[in-house]
Amino acid sequence: MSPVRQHSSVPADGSPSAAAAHPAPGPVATAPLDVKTIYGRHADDVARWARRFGGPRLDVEDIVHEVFLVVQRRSHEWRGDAQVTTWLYEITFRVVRDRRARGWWRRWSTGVVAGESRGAANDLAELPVDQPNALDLLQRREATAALYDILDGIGEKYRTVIILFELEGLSGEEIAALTGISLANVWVRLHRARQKVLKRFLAWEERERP
Amino acid sequence: MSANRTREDASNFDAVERWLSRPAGGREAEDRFAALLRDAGPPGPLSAVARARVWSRLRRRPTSRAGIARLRWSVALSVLLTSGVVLGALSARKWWPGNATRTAPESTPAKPHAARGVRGVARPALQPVPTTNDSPPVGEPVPAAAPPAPPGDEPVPETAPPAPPVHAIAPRHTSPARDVTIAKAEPEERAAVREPEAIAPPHFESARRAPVAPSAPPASPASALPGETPLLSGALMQLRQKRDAGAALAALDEYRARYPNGTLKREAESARIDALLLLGRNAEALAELRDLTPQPGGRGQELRLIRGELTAASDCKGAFVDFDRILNEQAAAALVERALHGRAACRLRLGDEPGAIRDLTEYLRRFPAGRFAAEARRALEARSEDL
Repeated sequence: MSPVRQHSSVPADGSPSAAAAHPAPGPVATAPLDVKTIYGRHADDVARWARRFGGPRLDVEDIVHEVFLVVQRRSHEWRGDAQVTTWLYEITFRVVRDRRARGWWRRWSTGVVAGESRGAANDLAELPVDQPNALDLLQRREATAALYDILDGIGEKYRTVIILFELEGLSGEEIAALTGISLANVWVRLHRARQKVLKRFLAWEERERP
Repeated sequence: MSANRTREDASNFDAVERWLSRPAGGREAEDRFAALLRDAGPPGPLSAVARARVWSRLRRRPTSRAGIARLRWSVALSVLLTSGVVLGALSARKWWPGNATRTAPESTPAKPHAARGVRGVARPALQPVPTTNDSPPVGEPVPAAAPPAPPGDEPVPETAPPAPPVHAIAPRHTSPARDVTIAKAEPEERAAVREPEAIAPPHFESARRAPVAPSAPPASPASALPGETPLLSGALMQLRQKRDAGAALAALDEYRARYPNGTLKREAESARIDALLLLGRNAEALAELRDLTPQPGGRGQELRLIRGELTAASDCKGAFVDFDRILNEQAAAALVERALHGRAACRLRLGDEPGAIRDLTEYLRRFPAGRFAAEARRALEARSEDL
């Protein structure tokens, strides 16, 4: 089991599917979705996924809000043939992707960095339960900022694949299904993404750790 | 085969080692990057406050911020586009070639070229006169018995400075003064039936019937002629709306005294001639006309014709100059009709019967249903009987 899975909300059930690869496997829904219940159970999961996909500069509250708006709007489409978590995961992925795609326009039109973190609330939320130490929090924030600084510079399609593979621990098929590209293309993108990441990582090391 | 390839790719993919699976403490770049991944750690959950805040937003306002932002931008773009369309339409309306003459005086009412633009609009006033059964005064080529045409028949823009009062001047096809003129003319017309030689110039009645041109546009309040314009406008108002030629003449006298070389001098002189004709002071009108140098075309041609008709009363030879000039120019049909008739009358008076017959024949050819057609036919028939 990868460390990613240990740290993430992915259940340690060893399931290879994307549906099972994410938080607590909810019961297969057969009745109309109760948004309040789903929110109570999975809001944190959505926030984690959003932070994973978007990085530390994303306004997680906005993303969670947007995701559950989609849930409200499309709850009637829920067929109950998959886990709610799978559905939420896909919605979160698409909402973050769309938000990032609109980032340039938002930056241009408002002068505000897209989805900038709200500060204290998010910082506190980032504090792992088992790390109440402020120094640890600071180191974690720095490492996270450096990581996403590297990932943000390699191109969106490569960034997506490497986050899903390395951080989320998804399989090739799951990435292909989620992103809508072929398995071969996933592999190619992952290969190139790794090259780009290493190149940027080495540059970052030279800059930050002389 | 493609399925086999896909399976091969998949197996290759599964064979790829995840960086986070590499043992910690390695010295390769991949190991160091894996360490960075571990340092970053997993993201935390939402805080209780944030959860409550998001749920509150979900319950209170089931619209996303992005949706609101899109709505705002849509409204802003709509307003912008609408404003652009409206401004474009206004600009097109203002600067479209078809409207140029109408708008030019508004922008530069005080400049001489703007006044020319006004006259350009007024030219339709010199279009062919509607044929009526009114007979011209006859017996005397001099328009003594027939008071001059009301100034209301003048092309408005010719005498109208770009001022609002001028704009308000309405066409007047009939007026008490004109009715009196026609009534006075009728007995003389009957005499003319017996004396074809006494065909008289048609004076100014055709001009009186000329359709009044569209009024000049109102001047902008910031006109550069703050003194001239109101004064002349008042005079034209008296002349054309109140039909008070005396008051108009008084105002024009004041204008002449105050602005002997004013920008609107030409318009004022033209109005003065109208007022004098309306008052029956033909001699003074003729004197004014002799001092005036009519401009080619438009109102200038009409003034030239009036001068010829007034001159014909006492000096037919002198009148030929103006009649010939009108006939040689590309004058309006109404002016040509009057000029042909006037020249024929003068030629008859001077004994130039061949010339008169030519003019009368030409008149009948061009205006078979003209206002002087019956008169011309009678004169020609009398000539043929004499022959």
